Amino acid sequence: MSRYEYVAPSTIDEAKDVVAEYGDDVTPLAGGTDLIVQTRERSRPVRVLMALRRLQALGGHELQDGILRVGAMASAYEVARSPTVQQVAAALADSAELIGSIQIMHRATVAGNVCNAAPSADTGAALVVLDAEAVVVGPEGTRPIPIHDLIQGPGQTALAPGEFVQDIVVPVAPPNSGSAYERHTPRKEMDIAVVGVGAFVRLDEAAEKIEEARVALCAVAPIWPRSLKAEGAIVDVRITSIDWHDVGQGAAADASPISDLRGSASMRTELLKVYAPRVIKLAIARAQQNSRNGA
Amino acid sequence: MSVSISMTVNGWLHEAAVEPRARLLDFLREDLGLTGTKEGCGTGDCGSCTVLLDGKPVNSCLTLAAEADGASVTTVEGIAADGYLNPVQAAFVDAGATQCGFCTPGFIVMATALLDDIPNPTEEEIRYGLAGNLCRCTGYDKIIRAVQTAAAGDSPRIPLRPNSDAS
Amino acid sequence: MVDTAVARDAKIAGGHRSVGSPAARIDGIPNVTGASLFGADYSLPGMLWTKILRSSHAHARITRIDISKARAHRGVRAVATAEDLPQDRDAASRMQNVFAGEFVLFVGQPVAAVAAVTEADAEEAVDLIELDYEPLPAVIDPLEAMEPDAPVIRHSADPIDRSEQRIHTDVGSESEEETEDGNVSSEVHFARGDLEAGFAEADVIVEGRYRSAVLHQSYLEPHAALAAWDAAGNLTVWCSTQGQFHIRDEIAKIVDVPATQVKVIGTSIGGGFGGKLGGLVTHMAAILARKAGAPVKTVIRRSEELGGGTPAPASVIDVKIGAKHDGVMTALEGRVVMDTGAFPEAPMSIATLLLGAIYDIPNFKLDGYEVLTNKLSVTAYRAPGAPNSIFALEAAVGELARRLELDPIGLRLKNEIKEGDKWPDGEPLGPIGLRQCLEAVRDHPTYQSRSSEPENGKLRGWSVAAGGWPGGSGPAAAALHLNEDGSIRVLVGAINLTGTSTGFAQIAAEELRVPIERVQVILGDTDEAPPAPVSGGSQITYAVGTAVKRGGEELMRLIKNVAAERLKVEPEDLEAIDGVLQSKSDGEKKIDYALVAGAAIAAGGPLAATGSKPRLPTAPGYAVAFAEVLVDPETGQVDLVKLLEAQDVGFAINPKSVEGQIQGGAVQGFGYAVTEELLFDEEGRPINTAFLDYRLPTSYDTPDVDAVIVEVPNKHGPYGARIVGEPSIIPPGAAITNAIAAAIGKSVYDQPMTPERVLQALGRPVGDAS
Repeated sequence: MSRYEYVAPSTIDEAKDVVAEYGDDVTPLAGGTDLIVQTRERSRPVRVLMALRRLQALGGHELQDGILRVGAMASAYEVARSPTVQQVAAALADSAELIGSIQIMHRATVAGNVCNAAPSADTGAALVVLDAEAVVVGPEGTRPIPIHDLIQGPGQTALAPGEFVQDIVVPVAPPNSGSAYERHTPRKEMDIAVVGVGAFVRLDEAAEKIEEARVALCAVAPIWPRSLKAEGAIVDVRITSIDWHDVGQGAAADASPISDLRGSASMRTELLKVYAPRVIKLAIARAQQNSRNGA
Repeated sequence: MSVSISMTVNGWLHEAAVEPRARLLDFLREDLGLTGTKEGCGTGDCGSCTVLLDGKPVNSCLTLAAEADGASVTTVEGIAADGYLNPVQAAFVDAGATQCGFCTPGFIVMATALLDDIPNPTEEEIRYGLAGNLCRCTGYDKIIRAVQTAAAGDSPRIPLRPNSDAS
Repeated sequence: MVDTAVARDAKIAGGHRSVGSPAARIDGIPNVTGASLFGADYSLPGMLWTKILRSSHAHARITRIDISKARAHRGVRAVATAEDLPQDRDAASRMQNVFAGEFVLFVGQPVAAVAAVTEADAEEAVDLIELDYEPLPAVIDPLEAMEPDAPVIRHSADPIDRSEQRIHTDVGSESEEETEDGNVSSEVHFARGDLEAGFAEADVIVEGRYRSAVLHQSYLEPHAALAAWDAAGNLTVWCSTQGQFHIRDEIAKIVDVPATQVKVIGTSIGGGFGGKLGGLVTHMAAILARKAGAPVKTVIRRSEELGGGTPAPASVIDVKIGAKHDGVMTALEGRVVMDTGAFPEAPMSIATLLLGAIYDIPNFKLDGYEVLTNKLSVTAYRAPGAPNSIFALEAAVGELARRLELDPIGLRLKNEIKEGDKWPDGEPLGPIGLRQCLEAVRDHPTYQSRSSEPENGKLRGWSVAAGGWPGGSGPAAAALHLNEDGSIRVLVGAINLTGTSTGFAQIAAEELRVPIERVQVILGDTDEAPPAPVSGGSQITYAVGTAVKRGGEELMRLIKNVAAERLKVEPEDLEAIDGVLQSKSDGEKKIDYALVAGAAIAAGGPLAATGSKPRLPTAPGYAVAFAEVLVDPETGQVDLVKLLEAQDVGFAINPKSVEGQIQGGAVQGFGYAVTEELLFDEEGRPINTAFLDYRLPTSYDTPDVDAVIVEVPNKHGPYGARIVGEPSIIPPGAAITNAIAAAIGKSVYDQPMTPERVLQALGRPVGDAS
């Protein structure tokens, strides 16, 4: 069916009423840049679109008490260009900048990008390394879901029927840390990740050794997996002594890529070996910069 | 069931009932007859349908008409002011930046938004900012030159109706 | 960045007022304000919308089709299938197969279409059409299709209609032989000299098998048509077409009425590049409108363009070249296998011929085969076939230069084909500008500043390539009229693409000595305007421009006669300047065109003239490109940093338009070389049917393009002009792939050189994609 209903509640309570009325038939609509194409090409059946645009509580982003809150309706453009986000969650700003064109960035949302649950969603891997959570509203109330657990597989999320994301919350890391996200695409713009890597590192006080790290991979598995092997190759190691070959091999070993129209599995494996070191190096450079600035 | 919307388009208030599935693009083209906004791909990949939604450039093919309820929309038909082409439009005409003309409305709207955002962009910033607009005819070169001309304030002054202001 | 008019012949340029100037496009303002109306912008009251049911099989027999439920659906007014076609089912050409007959031959082939009150109604009704298939073995790969035991996919014994294909050029087509057996639909063979002796004489032999992908023309405007019948049985079709007279004749055949009962109104066209000659939507709109008794609009989506259109062909081309130590080429062997998809329309013969059209090689043997497969059937894309064969030829020549350690431009200058030499089909060449293009590139600052220095771990390489194209030249006419206010009206039947109407205005202004603002160009529909050839084969300015020029000369003669009578002087004594005729011997005697128009009306009647021209000899255009790239050896990413192209256009009637043509063609060549490829799965299903994954170069991927206009006059074209539109797409792709080869130090055998293929060429263990 190519027809659907459209409702636009103006409060969270009204939204809950919509969910109560239509149950499983409800599909929340944030920016719609994926969803509207999917409905037109009928790759995703929709019965009731529940627009979130009037929910004031879901807009904007703010830094408060060591937590960065990004509303579900905050646009990718707002997030990518925010000096605050660039400072405290650089990987998220990096990834939001990669969501399509300027036009798409003005409509698309970070919450929508992760809830679309594409393994190639750039913000997914970025938020995983930032240890972010989605705050989810549903019939049963509000609950947090770590972004790492939000995606269950391509197009599959941990959201229960009627649940939708209210905010993404990112804990702000200490000053001697840094994060980054980069991806490989055939074109420089307007493309989908063939491979993406997010990295977060926290350095020791001398900024010479990595004390904590998270590395997440994009478009090489059904979810956005952590690469514990890549992390293991850099944690508690002096930066100057890191075996970058091991880092790349570790990331490749933690991936389970498939071959598709955007690249073969072996191409993805090769690219991971290149990108994991590149992105981790960028995160380290940012951490060192932050460490100097914080000192 | 249709959705009631109220929208200001190019300065004029419109009230209408639209199908939920109608996109802003469909509403502008079919209901308002503003066919300057083009559908080149329908998936947000070509930028031919770019309009300003509350001042921000968006793909009208990725925006439901219902989602623009209460908004102010500017299309290519409404981007000129005071009887003259805007500087981007004038520079496009002068530079030969339009060939077949189909992508042109999207480029005009996006380039106008770009210069609002970054008044003195580098060539790199122009090329990045316009990457969501595909052109198959020009190879982009003359488009980039036109945007540079407009940014530099060197656009010729061209009346909307060529003969109405001829000296 | 552009350099204008590098080599303009002083005699040609001398004295021109209007032609040769970079006049702004006369349709520039409607384009930038959104006022230009394209195919989908037309509507009529009571109009219906269309949705098409397409084959999901690459090869199958349709065993049952039941449209009853679809017909009964809300809003539906007509459902059309092959039953509604006049001809036998399963015609030999794609365009006559508006709907599949007994057999479907590719995924995406239209089987039926619904016209309904809303798009949603039509979409739902399409789902209600019941269709049963008996799947048949399909052939996807062209080399496999040539095997003796391959399933034969041809079902029609009808002769092949190649009229559309020959629009671009008919050079070489006389040699083409159609075959009746198997999946090879036609073949061509050219030979000269003694091939074996030529190779025996060679000091060095290079050879390779070069593959090109399926590309889509990717005009930004999808096909669109609006069809309406009147009570008297006359049909009007508004459509985005490259040739309104051509499509009128094709529609008339399909709806089985005389062509005079069909009026085609060519709308503004959002690009065509060869892909808007056929009737992807016009035919079904006309059929549905007649069945429904209401106007029908048929517009297809981008996914249908990429997944059901008529792209440009893939090819596998073997090239072997022998040369002496000093670079003189002694022998050339070439074999072209071109994948035409499910219907024969591949530009195979010209692709084969062009292998022997760039260099003068005494001994050659060139063979070409057009092969049917169960994929989208192909059509023209700007210089159809040429980017495929020039990529193959120039990759081999590039390798030759590296092997012999010769300067790439010097090697080409040593072997270039010149005036008096013959193409493989025996046509001796008139003056051409290949040498001048090579020299223009060599002398250009962008070439002079070339580099091979690596940068930040990226490898750098540069190279060049040369190409040429014969072009077409159909018969054309133009009608010119002196308006009562002294302005000039020009009526032609060409559609407005690529600024051609500005060129016509410049030509008329030139001949009639009026400012360009005093010329009104009317692009009439097929009922109003004199016939014009299609905008294909780069011929519009060359052909229609000649007709406008001849009409202008005649109208000038008529104007002078009337003026001479009024002023009591001899016509030869009159000189025209800015719309005024003045006596050369007595400056007091003058009369402006408005008074002439009035006098004429009072005397013999309004002044009007027709210019007409027959088919002219082709006016080949050569072009040479230079490219410099950076290649990331770890990711395979190619960064195009410099692109320069010089093209001989004979004479640039509007240099600004010509530059734009060169730049646009050059970037399309970039698409061939690096970014674009329509992918098919094992079952022949197109899989990247959106612009997200069918990657046109974006502005951010593209460098500045330096365009150099070279002018070696052609004696038939207006003011020496020759073809312009097509040659620019030919050599840039080959220059870029050669530059990649230079950067990575490995031979390149494929276009596009995607990151994955670059890494493969570098010997990395990638590429298990099926």
